[in-house]
Amino acid sequence: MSDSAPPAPRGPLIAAKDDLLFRQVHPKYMNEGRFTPDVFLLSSSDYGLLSVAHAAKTSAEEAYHRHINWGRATVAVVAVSVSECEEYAVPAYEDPTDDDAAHAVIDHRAFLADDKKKERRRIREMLTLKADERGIAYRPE
Amino acid sequence: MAKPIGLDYICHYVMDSLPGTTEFVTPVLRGGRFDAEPLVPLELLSDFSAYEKLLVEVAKAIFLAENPGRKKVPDGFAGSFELALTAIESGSTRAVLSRVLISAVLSTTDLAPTASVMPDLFDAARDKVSACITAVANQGLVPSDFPPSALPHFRKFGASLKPGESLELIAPGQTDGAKLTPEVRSILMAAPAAKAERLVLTGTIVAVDAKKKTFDLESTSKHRAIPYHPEMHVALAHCLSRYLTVPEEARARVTVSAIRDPFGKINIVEAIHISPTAGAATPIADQLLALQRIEAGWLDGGGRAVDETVLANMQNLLINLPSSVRKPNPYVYPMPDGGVRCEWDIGSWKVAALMEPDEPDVVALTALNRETRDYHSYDITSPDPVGKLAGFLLTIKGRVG
Repeated sequence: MSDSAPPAPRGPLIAAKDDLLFRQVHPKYMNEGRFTPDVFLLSSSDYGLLSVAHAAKTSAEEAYHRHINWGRATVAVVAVSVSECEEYAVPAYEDPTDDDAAHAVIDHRAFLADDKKKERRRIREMLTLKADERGIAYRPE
Repeated sequence: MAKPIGLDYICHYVMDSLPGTTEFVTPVLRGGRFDAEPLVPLELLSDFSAYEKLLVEVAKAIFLAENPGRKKVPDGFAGSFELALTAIESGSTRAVLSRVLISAVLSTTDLAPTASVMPDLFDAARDKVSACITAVANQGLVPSDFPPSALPHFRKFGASLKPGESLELIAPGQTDGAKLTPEVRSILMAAPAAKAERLVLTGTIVAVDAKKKTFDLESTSKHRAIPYHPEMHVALAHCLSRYLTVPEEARARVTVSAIRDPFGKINIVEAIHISPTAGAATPIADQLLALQRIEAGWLDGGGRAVDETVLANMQNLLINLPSSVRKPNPYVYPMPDGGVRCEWDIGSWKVAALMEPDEPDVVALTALNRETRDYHSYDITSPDPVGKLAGFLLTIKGRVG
Protein backbone atom coordinates (compact mmCIF):
# COMPACT_ATOMS: atom_id res chain seq x y z
CA MET A 1 0.00 0.00 0.00
CA SER A 2 1.24 3.50 -0.65
CA ASP A 3 1.01 6.38 1.83
CA SER A 4 -2.08 7.67 0.03
CA ALA A 5 -3.84 4.33 0.04
CA PRO A 6 -7.32 4.38 1.53
CA PRO A 7 -7.67 2.76 4.93
CA ALA A 8 -10.21 0.28 3.60
CA PRO A 9 -10.09 -2.48 1.01
CA ARG A 10 -11.22 -1.50 -2.48
CA GLY A 11 -12.98 -4.78 -3.13
CA PRO A 12 -15.19 -7.42 -1.53
CA LEU A 13 -14.25 -10.13 0.92
CA ILE A 14 -12.67 -13.03 -0.95
CA ALA A 15 -15.28 -15.76 -0.75
CA ALA A 16 -13.26 -18.69 -2.11
CA LYS A 17 -11.72 -20.05 1.07
CA ASP A 18 -9.17 -22.22 -0.70
CA ASP A 19 -7.75 -19.37 -2.76
CA LEU A 20 -4.11 -18.66 -2.10
CA LEU A 21 -2.61 -15.27 -1.35
CA PHE A 22 0.99 -14.60 -2.38
CA ARG A 23 3.38 -12.57 -0.27
CA GLN A 24 6.86 -11.50 -1.36
CA VAL A 25 9.90 -12.39 0.73
CA HIS A 26 12.41 -9.56 1.08
CA PRO A 27 16.03 -10.79 0.80
CA LYS A 28 16.78 -9.70 4.36
CA TYR A 29 13.92 -11.88 5.60
CA MET A 30 15.46 -15.00 4.09
CA ASN A 31 18.44 -16.50 5.90
CA GLU A 32 19.95 -19.65 4.38
CA GLY A 33 16.63 -20.47 2.72
CA ARG A 34 14.64 -20.00 5.92
CA PHE A 35 12.19 -17.11 6.06
CA THR A 36 11.15 -15.15 9.13
CA PRO A 37 7.60 -14.26 10.26
CA ASP A 38 8.42 -10.62 9.57
CA VAL A 39 7.50 -11.48 5.97
CA PHE A 40 3.97 -10.87 7.28
CA LEU A 41 4.88 -7.77 9.29
CA LEU A 42 2.75 -4.68 8.74
CA SER A 43 4.37 -1.34 8.10
CA SER A 44 2.84 1.91 9.36
CA SER A 45 1.86 2.83 5.80
CA ASP A 46 -0.21 -0.34 5.44
CA TYR A 47 -3.10 1.01 7.57
CA GLY A 48 -3.46 -2.55 8.85
CA LEU A 49 -3.94 -3.91 5.34
CA LEU A 50 -1.14 -6.27 4.41
CA SER A 51 -0.55 -6.42 0.64
CA VAL A 52 -0.74 -9.78 -1.10
CA ALA A 53 -1.49 -11.04 -4.61
CA HIS A 54 -4.65 -13.06 -5.20
CA ALA A 55 -3.70 -16.39 -6.80
CA ALA A 56 -7.05 -16.56 -8.59
CA LYS A 57 -5.85 -13.63 -10.69
CA THR A 58 -2.12 -14.15 -11.00
CA SER A 59 0.57 -16.76 -10.56
CA ALA A 60 3.32 -16.70 -7.97
CA GLU A 61 5.85 -16.20 -10.74
CA GLU A 62 3.93 -13.28 -12.27
CA ALA A 63 3.53 -11.68 -8.84
CA TYR A 64 7.27 -12.03 -8.27
CA HIS A 65 8.18 -10.37 -11.56
CA ARG A 66 5.64 -7.59 -11.05
CA HIS A 67 7.23 -6.83 -7.69
CA ILE A 68 10.70 -6.78 -9.26
CA ASN A 69 9.49 -4.53 -12.08
CA TRP A 70 8.28 -2.05 -9.51
CA GLY A 71 11.85 -1.83 -8.25
CA ARG A 72 11.19 -3.72 -5.03
CA ALA A 73 13.34 -6.47 -3.61
CA THR A 74 12.18 -10.06 -3.31
CA VAL A 75 13.84 -13.46 -3.40
CA ALA A 76 10.82 -15.74 -3.19
CA VAL A 77 7.05 -15.93 -2.94
CA VAL A 78 5.19 -17.65 -0.13
CA ALA A 79 1.48 -18.30 0.17
CA VAL A 80 -1.29 -18.59 2.72
CA SER A 81 -4.91 -19.43 2.01
CA VAL A 82 -7.95 -17.27 2.63
CA SER A 83 -9.28 -19.78 5.17
CA GLU A 84 -5.98 -19.75 7.05
CA CYS A 85 -6.19 -15.98 7.35
CA GLU A 86 -9.75 -16.22 8.60
CA GLU A 87 -8.68 -18.84 11.14
CA TYR A 88 -6.62 -16.09 12.78
CA ALA A 89 -9.28 -13.41 12.37
CA VAL A 90 -7.55 -11.51 9.59
CA PRO A 91 -9.92 -11.79 6.60
CA ALA A 92 -8.75 -11.30 3.02
CA TYR A 93 -10.24 -8.76 0.63
CA GLU A 94 -9.80 -8.05 -3.03
CA ASP A 95 -8.08 -4.70 -3.43
CA PRO A 96 -7.41 -4.12 -7.13
CA THR A 97 -5.31 -1.12 -8.09
CA ASP A 98 -4.81 0.59 -11.43
CA ASP A 99 -1.60 -1.27 -12.06
CA ASP A 100 -2.36 -4.54 -10.29
CA ALA A 101 -5.74 -6.19 -10.72
CA ALA A 102 -4.61 -9.12 -8.55
CA HIS A 103 -3.78 -6.93 -5.55
CA ALA A 104 -5.48 -8.07 -2.36
CA VAL A 105 -5.06 -7.40 1.34
CA ILE A 106 -5.10 -9.33 4.60
CA ASP A 107 -7.04 -7.18 7.00
CA HIS A 108 -5.30 -6.66 10.36
CA ARG A 109 -7.26 -3.52 11.29
CA ALA A 110 -8.79 -5.22 14.31
CA PHE A 111 -5.30 -5.64 15.74
CA LEU A 112 -3.79 -2.20 15.25
CA ALA A 113 -4.03 -0.95 18.83
CA ASP A 114 -0.80 -0.76 20.85
CA ASP A 115 -2.05 -3.38 23.28
CA LYS A 116 -2.52 -5.86 20.42
CA LYS A 117 1.18 -6.09 19.64
CA LYS A 118 1.51 -9.62 20.95
CA GLU A 119 -1.57 -10.74 19.04
CA ARG A 120 -0.13 -9.30 15.82
CA ARG A 121 3.07 -11.20 16.54
CA ARG A 122 1.16 -14.43 17.07
CA ILE A 123 -0.75 -13.98 13.81
CA ARG A 124 2.54 -13.49 11.95
CA GLU A 125 3.97 -16.62 13.50
CA MET A 126 0.90 -18.67 12.60
CA LEU A 127 0.68 -17.43 9.02
CA THR A 128 4.40 -18.11 8.59
CA LEU A 129 3.90 -21.63 9.85
CA LYS A 130 1.19 -22.20 7.26
CA ALA A 131 3.30 -20.71 4.49
CA ASP A 132 6.33 -22.71 5.57
CA GLU A 133 4.30 -25.89 5.59
CA ARG A 134 3.06 -25.18 2.09
CA GLY A 135 6.57 -24.55 0.79
CA ILE A 136 8.00 -21.74 -1.28
CA ALA A 137 5.45 -20.94 -3.99
CA TYR A 138 8.02 -19.47 -6.36
CA ARG A 139 11.72 -18.87 -6.29
CA PRO A 140 13.71 -17.91 -9.38
CA GLU A 141 16.25 -20.47 -10.58
CA MET B 1 -6.89 -60.11 -43.25
CA ALA B 2 -7.40 -56.44 -43.84
CA LYS B 3 -5.08 -54.29 -41.79
CA PRO B 4 -6.86 -51.83 -39.48
CA ILE B 5 -5.76 -48.28 -40.10
CA GLY B 6 -4.38 -46.22 -37.25
CA LEU B 7 -5.56 -42.64 -37.06
CA ASP B 8 -2.11 -41.42 -38.03
CA TYR B 9 -2.64 -42.94 -41.46
CA ILE B 10 -6.39 -42.76 -41.79
CA CYS B 11 -6.33 -39.94 -44.31
CA HIS B 12 -5.48 -42.59 -46.87
CA TYR B 13 -8.03 -45.22 -46.00
CA VAL B 14 -11.52 -45.56 -44.67
CA MET B 15 -12.49 -49.08 -43.99
CA ASP B 16 -15.58 -51.07 -43.27
CA SER B 17 -15.92 -53.15 -40.15
CA LEU B 18 -12.84 -55.21 -39.57
CA PRO B 19 -11.87 -58.29 -37.72
CA GLY B 20 -9.52 -57.49 -34.84
CA THR B 21 -11.40 -54.37 -33.86
CA THR B 22 -14.20 -53.57 -31.47
CA GLU B 23 -16.44 -50.55 -31.59
CA PHE B 24 -15.24 -47.96 -29.07
CA VAL B 25 -17.04 -44.68 -29.72
CA THR B 26 -19.04 -43.08 -32.50
CA PRO B 27 -18.54 -39.37 -33.01
CA VAL B 28 -21.70 -37.98 -34.59
CA LEU B 29 -21.11 -34.81 -36.55
CA ARG B 30 -23.94 -32.33 -36.93
CA GLY B 31 -24.56 -28.87 -38.29
CA GLY B 32 -22.90 -26.92 -41.11
CA ARG B 33 -21.04 -29.20 -43.49
CA PHE B 34 -22.51 -32.36 -42.01
CA ASP B 35 -26.21 -31.67 -42.47
CA ALA B 36 -26.30 -32.29 -46.21
CA GLU B 37 -24.68 -35.69 -46.50
CA PRO B 38 -22.38 -37.96 -44.50
CA LEU B 39 -18.82 -36.91 -45.02
CA VAL B 40 -15.67 -36.63 -43.00
CA PRO B 41 -13.49 -33.71 -44.14
CA LEU B 42 -9.85 -34.74 -44.08
CA GLU B 43 -8.99 -32.04 -41.58
CA LEU B 44 -11.30 -33.70 -39.06
CA LEU B 45 -9.15 -36.81 -39.05
CA SER B 46 -6.51 -34.90 -37.10
CA ASP B 47 -9.19 -34.21 -34.49
CA PHE B 48 -9.77 -37.96 -34.10
CA SER B 49 -6.03 -38.48 -33.78
CA ALA B 50 -5.95 -35.82 -31.06
CA TYR B 51 -8.86 -37.58 -29.35
CA GLU B 52 -6.84 -40.78 -29.29
CA LYS B 53 -3.90 -38.97 -27.63
CA LEU B 54 -6.28 -37.29 -25.19
CA LEU B 55 -7.63 -40.69 -24.14
CA VAL B 56 -4.12 -42.05 -23.61
CA GLU B 57 -3.23 -39.06 -21.41
CA VAL B 58 -6.38 -39.45 -19.32
CA ALA B 59 -5.85 -43.22 -19.03
CA LYS B 60 -2.31 -42.56 -17.77
CA ALA B 61 -3.64 -40.20 -15.13
CA ILE B 62 -6.23 -42.78 -14.04
CA PHE B 63 -3.55 -45.47 -13.82
CA LEU B 64 -1.24 -43.27 -11.71
CA ALA B 65 -4.12 -42.23 -9.46
CA GLU B 66 -5.01 -45.87 -8.89
CA ASN B 67 -1.37 -46.81 -8.29
CA PRO B 68 -0.01 -44.10 -5.99
CA GLY B 69 3.31 -45.89 -5.56
CA ARG B 70 4.00 -45.70 -9.31
CA LYS B 71 5.70 -42.74 -10.93
CA LYS B 72 5.27 -43.99 -14.50
CA VAL B 73 2.88 -46.15 -16.46
CA PRO B 74 4.16 -49.56 -17.61
CA ASP B 75 6.26 -49.72 -20.77
CA GLY B 76 4.05 -50.10 -23.82
CA PHE B 77 1.06 -48.54 -22.08
CA ALA B 78 0.34 -45.99 -24.81
CA GLY B 79 1.06 -48.52 -27.52
CA SER B 80 -1.57 -50.86 -26.14
CA PHE B 81 -4.30 -48.52 -27.30
CA GLU B 82 -5.09 -47.63 -30.88
CA LEU B 83 -8.19 -46.35 -32.59
CA ALA B 84 -9.16 -46.77 -36.21
CA LEU B 85 -11.93 -45.23 -38.28
CA THR B 86 -13.82 -48.32 -39.38
CA ALA B 87 -17.06 -46.96 -40.79
CA ILE B 88 -18.88 -43.83 -41.84
CA GLU B 89 -22.60 -44.21 -41.43
CA SER B 90 -25.46 -42.05 -42.55
CA GLY B 91 -27.84 -40.20 -40.27
CA SER B 92 -25.87 -36.99 -39.92
CA THR B 93 -22.29 -38.14 -40.16
CA ARG B 94 -21.48 -41.02 -37.88
CA ALA B 95 -17.80 -41.87 -37.85
CA VAL B 96 -17.34 -45.17 -36.09
CA LEU B 97 -14.05 -45.31 -34.19
CA SER B 98 -13.07 -48.81 -33.22
CA ARG B 99 -10.42 -49.98 -30.87
CA VAL B 100 -7.79 -52.06 -32.58
CA LEU B 101 -7.13 -55.19 -30.58
CA ILE B 102 -3.44 -55.11 -29.88
CA SER B 103 -2.82 -58.61 -31.24
CA ALA B 104 -4.12 -57.41 -34.59
CA VAL B 105 -1.59 -54.59 -34.61
CA LEU B 106 1.23 -56.81 -33.50
CA SER B 107 0.47 -59.45 -36.08
CA THR B 108 1.13 -56.96 -38.81
CA THR B 109 4.45 -55.78 -37.46
CA ASP B 110 7.69 -57.22 -36.24
CA LEU B 111 7.18 -55.76 -32.79
CA ALA B 112 7.35 -58.06 -29.82
CA PRO B 113 4.31 -58.00 -27.55
CA THR B 114 4.61 -55.28 -24.93
CA ALA B 115 2.04 -54.61 -22.26
CA SER B 116 -1.30 -56.25 -22.06
CA VAL B 117 -4.32 -54.35 -23.28
CA MET B 118 -6.04 -52.47 -20.48
CA PRO B 119 -9.51 -51.97 -21.82
CA ASP B 120 -11.00 -50.84 -18.54
CA LEU B 121 -8.65 -47.89 -18.20
CA PHE B 122 -9.23 -46.66 -21.73
CA ASP B 123 -12.97 -47.17 -21.42
CA ALA B 124 -12.80 -45.19 -18.18
CA ALA B 125 -10.78 -42.52 -19.98
CA ARG B 126 -13.44 -42.28 -22.70
CA ASP B 127 -16.14 -41.87 -20.05
CA LYS B 128 -14.09 -39.29 -18.14
CA VAL B 129 -13.50 -37.19 -21.26
CA SER B 130 -17.20 -37.34 -22.10
CA ALA B 131 -18.13 -36.40 -18.52
CA CYS B 132 -15.74 -33.45 -18.69
CA ILE B 133 -17.24 -32.18 -21.96
CA THR B 134 -20.77 -32.55 -20.56
CA ALA B 135 -19.84 -30.71 -17.36
CA VAL B 136 -18.34 -27.84 -19.32
CA ALA B 137 -21.36 -27.71 -21.61
CA ASN B 138 -23.82 -27.70 -18.68
CA GLN B 139 -21.97 -25.78 -15.97
CA GLY B 140 -19.10 -24.08 -17.74
CA LEU B 141 -16.58 -25.71 -15.38
CA VAL B 142 -13.94 -28.36 -15.86
CA PRO B 143 -14.52 -31.11 -13.23
CA SER B 144 -11.91 -30.97 -10.48
CA ASP B 145 -10.99 -34.64 -11.02
CA PHE B 146 -10.18 -34.18 -14.69
CA PRO B 147 -6.40 -34.54 -15.19
CA PRO B 148 -4.98 -31.09 -16.02
CA SER B 149 -2.19 -32.67 -18.05
CA ALA B 150 -4.81 -33.76 -20.59
CA LEU B 151 -6.35 -30.31 -21.14
CA PRO B 152 -3.81 -29.18 -23.79
CA HIS B 153 -5.11 -31.95 -26.11
CA PHE B 154 -8.31 -29.95 -26.55
CA ARG B 155 -6.23 -27.49 -28.57
CA LYS B 156 -6.38 -30.03 -31.40
CA PHE B 157 -9.42 -32.15 -30.59
CA GLY B 158 -12.38 -30.28 -32.05
CA ALA B 159 -10.19 -27.65 -33.70
CA SER B 160 -11.72 -28.41 -37.11
CA LEU B 161 -15.28 -27.72 -35.98
CA LYS B 162 -16.73 -24.57 -37.43
CA PRO B 163 -19.36 -22.35 -35.78
CA GLY B 164 -22.68 -24.17 -35.70
CA GLU B 165 -21.10 -27.60 -35.92
CA SER B 166 -20.87 -30.18 -33.15
CA LEU B 167 -19.27 -33.53 -32.44
CA GLU B 168 -21.20 -35.85 -30.15
CA LEU B 169 -19.31 -38.78 -28.63
CA ILE B 170 -21.68 -41.75 -28.39
CA ALA B 171 -20.43 -44.82 -26.57
CA PRO B 172 -21.55 -48.31 -27.71
CA GLY B 173 -25.08 -49.09 -26.60
CA GLN B 174 -25.87 -45.41 -25.97
CA THR B 175 -28.18 -43.17 -27.98
CA ASP B 176 -26.64 -39.85 -27.02
CA GLY B 177 -23.41 -38.56 -25.53
CA ALA B 178 -21.18 -35.61 -24.77
CA LYS B 179 -21.45 -32.83 -27.33
CA LEU B 180 -18.30 -30.92 -28.19
CA THR B 181 -18.89 -27.55 -29.82
CA PRO B 182 -16.52 -24.66 -30.58
CA GLU B 183 -17.98 -22.87 -27.55
CA VAL B 184 -17.36 -25.79 -25.18
CA ARG B 185 -13.87 -26.23 -26.57
CA SER B 186 -13.01 -22.58 -25.97
CA ILE B 187 -13.85 -23.02 -22.27
CA LEU B 188 -11.72 -26.16 -22.10
CA MET B 189 -8.79 -24.38 -23.71
CA ALA B 190 -9.10 -21.47 -21.31
CA ALA B 191 -8.73 -23.80 -18.32
CA PRO B 192 -5.21 -23.45 -16.99
CA ALA B 193 -3.02 -26.47 -17.40
CA ALA B 194 -1.00 -28.01 -14.64
CA LYS B 195 2.21 -26.19 -13.89
CA ALA B 196 5.53 -27.65 -12.93
CA GLU B 197 7.01 -26.01 -9.87
CA ARG B 198 9.91 -26.37 -7.55
CA LEU B 199 9.04 -26.21 -3.86
CA VAL B 200 11.13 -26.13 -0.72
CA LEU B 201 9.59 -28.07 2.15
CA THR B 202 10.89 -28.20 5.68
CA GLY B 203 10.31 -30.95 8.15
CA THR B 204 11.86 -33.99 9.76
CA ILE B 205 12.74 -37.09 7.78
CA VAL B 206 11.44 -39.85 10.02
CA ALA B 207 11.57 -42.91 7.75
CA VAL B 208 13.06 -44.16 4.50
CA ASP B 209 11.65 -46.97 2.38
CA ALA B 210 14.66 -47.99 0.29
CA LYS B 211 12.60 -50.55 -1.59
CA LYS B 212 9.94 -48.12 -2.74
CA LYS B 213 12.48 -45.28 -2.95
CA THR B 214 10.42 -42.95 -0.81
CA PHE B 215 11.09 -41.16 2.46
CA ASP B 216 8.63 -39.77 4.98
CA LEU B 217 8.84 -36.05 5.69
CA GLU B 218 6.94 -34.96 8.77
CA SER B 219 6.08 -31.29 8.93
CA THR B 220 3.54 -29.65 11.16
CA SER B 221 0.37 -31.66 10.68
CA LYS B 222 1.39 -33.20 7.37
CA HIS B 223 3.15 -36.44 6.69
CA ARG B 224 4.33 -36.84 3.12
CA ALA B 225 5.90 -39.82 1.34
CA ILE B 226 8.31 -38.32 -1.17
CA PRO B 227 9.96 -40.28 -4.00
CA TYR B 228 13.75 -39.89 -4.29
CA HIS B 229 16.73 -40.96 -6.38
CA PRO B 230 19.18 -43.53 -4.99
CA GLU B 231 22.01 -40.98 -5.01
CA MET B 232 20.26 -39.33 -2.05
CA HIS B 233 20.88 -42.35 0.19
CA VAL B 234 23.84 -40.70 1.93
CA ALA B 235 21.93 -37.51 2.72
CA LEU B 236 18.94 -39.54 3.89
CA ALA B 237 21.10 -41.74 6.11
CA HIS B 238 22.56 -38.59 7.67
CA CYS B 239 19.08 -37.18 8.33
CA LEU B 240 17.83 -40.45 9.83
CA SER B 241 20.90 -40.70 12.04
CA ARG B 242 20.24 -37.22 13.43
CA TYR B 243 16.58 -38.06 13.94
CA LEU B 244 17.55 -41.10 16.02
CA THR B 245 20.25 -39.36 18.06
CA VAL B 246 19.35 -35.65 18.32
CA PRO B 247 15.75 -35.29 17.13
CA GLU B 248 15.63 -31.63 18.15
CA GLU B 249 18.26 -30.91 15.47
CA ALA B 250 16.95 -33.26 12.80
CA ARG B 251 15.00 -30.88 10.60
CA ALA B 252 15.76 -30.79 6.91
CA ARG B 253 14.97 -28.64 3.93
CA VAL B 254 13.81 -30.70 0.98
CA THR B 255 13.60 -29.24 -2.51
CA VAL B 256 11.05 -31.11 -4.61
CA SER B 257 9.72 -30.92 -8.13
CA ALA B 258 5.95 -30.75 -8.10
CA ILE B 259 2.94 -30.24 -10.30
CA ARG B 260 0.36 -27.71 -9.17
CA ASP B 261 -2.97 -28.40 -10.86
CA PRO B 262 -5.33 -25.60 -11.87
CA PHE B 263 -7.23 -26.11 -8.64
CA GLY B 264 -4.17 -25.42 -6.51
CA LYS B 265 -3.54 -29.00 -5.49
CA ILE B 266 0.16 -29.85 -5.32
CA ASN B 267 1.37 -33.26 -6.42
CA ILE B 268 4.98 -33.91 -5.50
CA VAL B 269 6.92 -35.67 -8.25
CA GLU B 270 10.24 -36.30 -6.52
CA ALA B 271 12.91 -34.85 -4.26
CA ILE B 272 15.68 -32.90 -5.96
CA HIS B 273 17.82 -31.91 -3.01
CA ILE B 274 17.96 -32.63 0.71
CA SER B 275 19.69 -30.30 3.09
CA PRO B 276 19.82 -30.98 6.84
CA THR B 277 19.11 -27.86 8.87
CA ALA B 278 20.89 -28.33 12.15
CA GLY B 279 20.72 -24.63 12.64
CA ALA B 280 22.27 -21.83 10.63
CA ALA B 281 25.55 -22.65 8.92
CA THR B 282 26.79 -19.07 9.36
CA PRO B 283 28.33 -18.43 12.80
CA ILE B 284 26.46 -16.03 15.07
CA ALA B 285 29.28 -13.48 15.04
CA ASP B 286 29.19 -13.31 11.25
CA GLN B 287 25.41 -12.97 11.15
CA LEU B 288 25.52 -10.10 13.66
CA LEU B 289 28.30 -8.42 11.70
CA ALA B 290 26.15 -8.59 8.59
CA LEU B 291 23.32 -6.86 10.50
CA GLN B 292 25.69 -4.12 11.58
CA ARG B 293 26.40 -3.35 7.91
CA ILE B 294 22.76 -2.91 6.91
CA GLU B 295 22.02 0.67 5.93
CA ALA B 296 18.84 2.66 6.48
CA GLY B 297 16.34 2.24 3.66
CA TRP B 298 17.10 -1.47 3.21
CA LEU B 299 13.39 -2.38 3.07
CA ASP B 300 12.44 -0.91 -0.32
CA GLY B 301 13.27 2.58 0.91
CA GLY B 302 11.99 2.00 4.46
CA GLY B 303 13.67 0.01 7.20
CA ARG B 304 16.01 1.56 9.74
CA ALA B 305 19.63 0.58 10.25
CA VAL B 306 19.94 -1.89 13.11
CA ASP B 307 20.04 0.00 16.40
CA GLU B 308 23.52 -0.08 17.98
CA THR B 309 22.24 -0.68 21.50
CA VAL B 310 19.98 -3.49 20.37
CA LEU B 311 22.79 -5.10 18.42
CA ALA B 312 25.18 -4.89 21.38
CA ASN B 313 22.57 -6.31 23.76
CA MET B 314 21.65 -9.16 21.43
CA GLN B 315 25.32 -9.94 20.86
CA ASN B 316 25.92 -10.00 24.60
CA LEU B 317 22.92 -12.24 25.12
CA LEU B 318 23.86 -14.80 22.47
CA ILE B 319 27.59 -14.94 23.10
CA ASN B 320 27.10 -15.45 26.82
CA LEU B 321 24.70 -18.34 26.33
CA PRO B 322 26.47 -21.66 26.98
CA SER B 323 27.19 -23.08 23.52
CA SER B 324 25.36 -26.32 24.38
CA VAL B 325 22.25 -24.26 25.12
CA ARG B 326 22.63 -21.97 22.13
CA LYS B 327 22.81 -24.89 19.68
CA PRO B 328 21.39 -25.44 17.15
CA ASN B 329 22.90 -22.26 15.78
CA PRO B 330 20.14 -19.63 15.50
CA TYR B 331 19.15 -17.59 12.45
CA VAL B 332 19.34 -13.82 12.86
CA TYR B 333 17.26 -11.25 10.97
CA PRO B 334 16.94 -7.44 10.99
CA MET B 335 13.59 -5.85 11.85
CA PRO B 336 12.23 -2.75 10.07
CA ASP B 337 12.32 -0.62 13.22
CA GLY B 338 16.02 -1.30 13.84
CA GLY B 339 15.39 -4.34 16.02
CA VAL B 340 16.93 -7.79 15.80
CA ARG B 341 15.17 -11.12 15.64
CA CYS B 342 16.85 -14.41 16.46
CA GLU B 343 15.21 -17.77 15.69
CA TRP B 344 15.89 -21.37 16.63
CA ASP B 345 14.44 -24.58 15.21
CA ILE B 346 14.37 -27.02 18.12
CA GLY B 347 12.60 -30.21 17.19
CA SER B 348 9.03 -29.29 16.34
CA TRP B 349 9.40 -25.97 18.18
CA LYS B 350 10.15 -22.68 16.57
CA VAL B 351 11.61 -20.30 19.15
CA ALA B 352 12.25 -16.60 18.63
CA ALA B 353 13.94 -13.88 20.68
CA LEU B 354 13.20 -10.30 19.62
CA MET B 355 14.76 -7.06 20.74
CA GLU B 356 13.53 -3.66 19.58
CA PRO B 357 14.92 -0.12 19.93
CA ASP B 358 12.01 1.23 21.99
CA GLU B 359 12.78 -1.33 24.72
CA PRO B 360 16.36 -2.51 24.14
CA ASP B 361 16.54 -4.19 27.54
CA VAL B 362 13.48 -6.34 26.94
CA VAL B 363 13.69 -9.66 25.12
CA ALA B 364 10.39 -10.83 23.73
CA LEU B 365 10.34 -14.61 23.54
CA THR B 366 7.93 -16.72 21.54
CA ALA B 367 7.72 -20.47 21.12
CA LEU B 368 5.43 -22.13 18.61
CA ASN B 369 5.02 -25.87 18.23
CA ARG B 370 4.62 -26.75 14.58
CA GLU B 371 2.66 -29.90 15.32
CA THR B 372 0.37 -28.96 18.18
CA ARG B 373 0.16 -25.20 17.46
CA ASP B 374 0.97 -24.70 21.13
CA TYR B 375 2.11 -21.06 21.45
CA HIS B 376 3.87 -19.24 24.29
CA SER B 377 4.96 -15.64 24.57
CA TYR B 378 7.05 -14.07 27.37
CA ASP B 379 9.03 -10.91 27.93
CA ILE B 380 12.27 -11.18 29.87
CA THR B 381 14.17 -8.30 31.36
CA SER B 382 17.15 -7.66 33.63
CA PRO B 383 18.45 -9.00 35.85
CA ASP B 384 20.09 -12.01 34.24
CA PRO B 385 18.42 -12.09 30.82
CA VAL B 386 21.04 -14.63 29.71
CA GLY B 387 20.02 -17.03 32.47
CA LYS B 388 16.34 -16.52 31.70
CA LEU B 389 16.82 -17.13 27.98
CA ALA B 390 18.93 -20.20 28.73
CA GLY B 391 16.18 -21.48 31.02
CA PHE B 392 13.58 -20.93 28.30
CA LEU B 393 15.63 -22.76 25.67
CA LEU B 394 16.39 -25.62 28.04
CA THR B 395 12.71 -25.97 28.87
CA ILE B 396 11.89 -26.28 25.17
CA LYS B 397 14.71 -28.77 24.65
CA GLY B 398 13.43 -30.74 27.61
CA ARG B 399 10.02 -30.99 25.98
CA VAL B 400 11.61 -32.22 22.75
CA GLY B 401 13.86 -34.74 24.50
